[in-house]
Amino acid sequence: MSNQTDDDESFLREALPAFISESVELLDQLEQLLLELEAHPGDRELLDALFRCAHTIKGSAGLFGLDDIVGFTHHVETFLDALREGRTRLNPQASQMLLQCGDQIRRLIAQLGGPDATAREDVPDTREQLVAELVRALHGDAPAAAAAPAASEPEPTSTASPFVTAYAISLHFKEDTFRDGFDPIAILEYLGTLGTIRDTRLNVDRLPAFAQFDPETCYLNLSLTLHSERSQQDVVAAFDLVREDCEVSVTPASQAQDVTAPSATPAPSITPETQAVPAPGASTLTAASAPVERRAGTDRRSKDDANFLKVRADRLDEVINLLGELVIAGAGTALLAQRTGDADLIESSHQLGRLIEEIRNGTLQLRMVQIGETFGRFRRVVHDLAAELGKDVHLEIQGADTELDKSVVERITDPLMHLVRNALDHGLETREQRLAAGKPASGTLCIAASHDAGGILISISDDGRGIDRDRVLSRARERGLVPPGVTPADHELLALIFEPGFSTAEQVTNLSGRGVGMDVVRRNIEGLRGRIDLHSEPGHGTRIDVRLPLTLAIIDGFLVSVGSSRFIFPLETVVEVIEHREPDTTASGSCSSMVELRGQVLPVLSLRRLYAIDAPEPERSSVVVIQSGGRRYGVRVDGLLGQHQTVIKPLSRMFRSLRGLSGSSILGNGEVALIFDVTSLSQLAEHPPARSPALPPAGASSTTALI
Amino acid sequence: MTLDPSVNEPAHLRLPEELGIYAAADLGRAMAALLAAPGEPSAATAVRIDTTAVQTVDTSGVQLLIAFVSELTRRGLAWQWSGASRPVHEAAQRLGVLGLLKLTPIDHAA
Repeated sequence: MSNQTDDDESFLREALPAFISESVELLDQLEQLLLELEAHPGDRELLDALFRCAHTIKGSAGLFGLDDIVGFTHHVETFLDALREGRTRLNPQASQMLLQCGDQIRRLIAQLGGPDATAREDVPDTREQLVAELVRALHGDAPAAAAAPAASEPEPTSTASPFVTAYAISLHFKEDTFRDGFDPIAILEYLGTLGTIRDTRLNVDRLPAFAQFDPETCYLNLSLTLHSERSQQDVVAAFDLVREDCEVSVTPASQAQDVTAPSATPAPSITPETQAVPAPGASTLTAASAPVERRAGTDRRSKDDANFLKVRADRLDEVINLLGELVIAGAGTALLAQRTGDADLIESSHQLGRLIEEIRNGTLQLRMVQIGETFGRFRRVVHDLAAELGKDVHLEIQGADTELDKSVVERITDPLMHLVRNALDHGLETREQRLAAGKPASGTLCIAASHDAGGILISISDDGRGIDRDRVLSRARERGLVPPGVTPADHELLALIFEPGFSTAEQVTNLSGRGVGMDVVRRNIEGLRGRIDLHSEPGHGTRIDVRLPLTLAIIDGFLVSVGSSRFIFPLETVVEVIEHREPDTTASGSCSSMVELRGQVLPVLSLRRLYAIDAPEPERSSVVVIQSGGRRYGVRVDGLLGQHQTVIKPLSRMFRSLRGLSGSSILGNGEVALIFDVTSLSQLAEHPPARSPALPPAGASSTTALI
Repeated sequence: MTLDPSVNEPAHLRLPEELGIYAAADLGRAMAALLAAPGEPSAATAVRIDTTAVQTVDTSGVQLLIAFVSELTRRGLAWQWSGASRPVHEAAQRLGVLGLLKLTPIDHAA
């Protein structure tokens, strides 16, 4: 048994980080549910989910012997239980109190250390006060004084509450219980940790005559009374592991008696340290109800558990890195196979290529997470900030189930948070200002995600005052960003907001003034191969569109050539390819010309001119039509080399000054191809630069050496 | 777990170290063999169930003991415990079958 204990301890030590990360997730969920409940008060499903969050945190913390967390969370759980049973109501004060309780639990978890637990360490310890408030909210003022000290005691006794319920438990074991490895004594031992077991009765009526008796079959039923301060759900949860082998009924029998009083029948006291405290005169919190029908709830939970597997992100990253190498090696093999002309080998390498593609898609899918979790965090920010600013804000979230790569999600959260804060602080007006402007008193902030051109589009829009152009212009003139007397076009004016060092007077309030300007937001987003656009209508609101790639690792590319240089378009942005027999008539000095396509004028960019590629023009060239952000444009290329799976590598330093590029890739034959950033390329097509830096000397040998 | 050949009278059932699910089938057969042995046990001689060696007990072990002593009682045969095993007492106490197994509460048994 001592070995067993050592094993348990080492298991618990190893499992602690998982507990921390799970608890942080549950606390996020708790916050979100509380905020959702403000919109849907009394929703039983939300209330149940809320209770389960606290219940799970308390239960897991108990496993690790984290008495502080158990002690405090117990009070939260008790309140949430009363809430869902309709014994008390969730008003804004209670909601605020519970949010603060969540912060306190977060603080306690932060003290355990771990990467997920850094937040909220600065929150002061207000547990005692919160427990008093919780008790007062449930029972009025009287019991508050008695309950408050319990929370501040770090001893295990702090888990005891004065509310002890006697549960009548009956267990009907199935025949295979023993064969399945379950031992009812072990269940009793565990129950003993929840309270005190009394009146255990083993019913052996099903036991057959010895001749028919099979020693490995279970013929037993068991009934007992458990005196516990735990909730009925806690007690029911004790049987989660044996539900396949056992029919369980748990009924709150009556108010517990003084369980420490001597008993005529010997009651096994299995864990004396967790014995419930006698509570003369205390009323039972758990209302007597019909026997719990436990199957529905627990079965669903176990099914969810079985459907998910938590995997360390770094292990997955390692697999994805290897996969990148595999894709490159696969392309190399396919090329070599082509050269040999051996039909069987070519067929075999094609087969391999298909499999690699399937593995690639499947593996990248593993990293995809829903953006909704991130959006959920904004609910709290919006809630708190709106309260602080005295604004009435309605938050709308759309497309929360849109999936994108976890690494993108992680890196986009802070920039988005900043945009949300900005919208609240500067965009939306106060209630009085809105009414004066003839708008509804409550402002709307909408965060929406959707798929767009092979990437994801996240929009943050508000119906606030919009951006004050005059203020932006005067600020820009002050900063010397715009020469006096020059009035830039509207989109150029708005773009000034993203310039480094630019901030209007409002942008240095305590809320957004975290030393992060819009230039940092833009840099972060562009670092993700993303793009940020701003639309604002004075008096009507502002919309900020953030476009991001789905993943940072691999894209499906369309390979083209200009001279000996190779370029790749993200495949999903390629609409069509048109043959262009006329020579490149682009005026020298300009990178852009126009062609007519089915009656529409299409701007066409010449890569030869843009990157000053010194190579003779072929007789026939092609124009690749690209769709980006609702606009179409053409790109003139010499050769079309087809679809190509592309592992994205960062641009080498030499290429970073070139506009319109987002990364590079190594082809199967060792050549380097440059990957286009189609959005910035589209700007080049519409507003061609007067001069552009020349591409470093083209050619496989020289470009290979650059990477 | 088998019958002790050196002891003919009274019948003597020595329980194994692990009185649990893995030993249950073998022990059940040993019990059946003891019950079927010609002439033994008889009403005159009490069956001795020796718990001295028992180190661990699970519920299937307790159930087996209950089934065995119930059968002895049904046949009108006397039986008695031999030796003392704290694990057997503890398991019986937890399951609330001290009385059924004619065991005294653990505090007095040790």
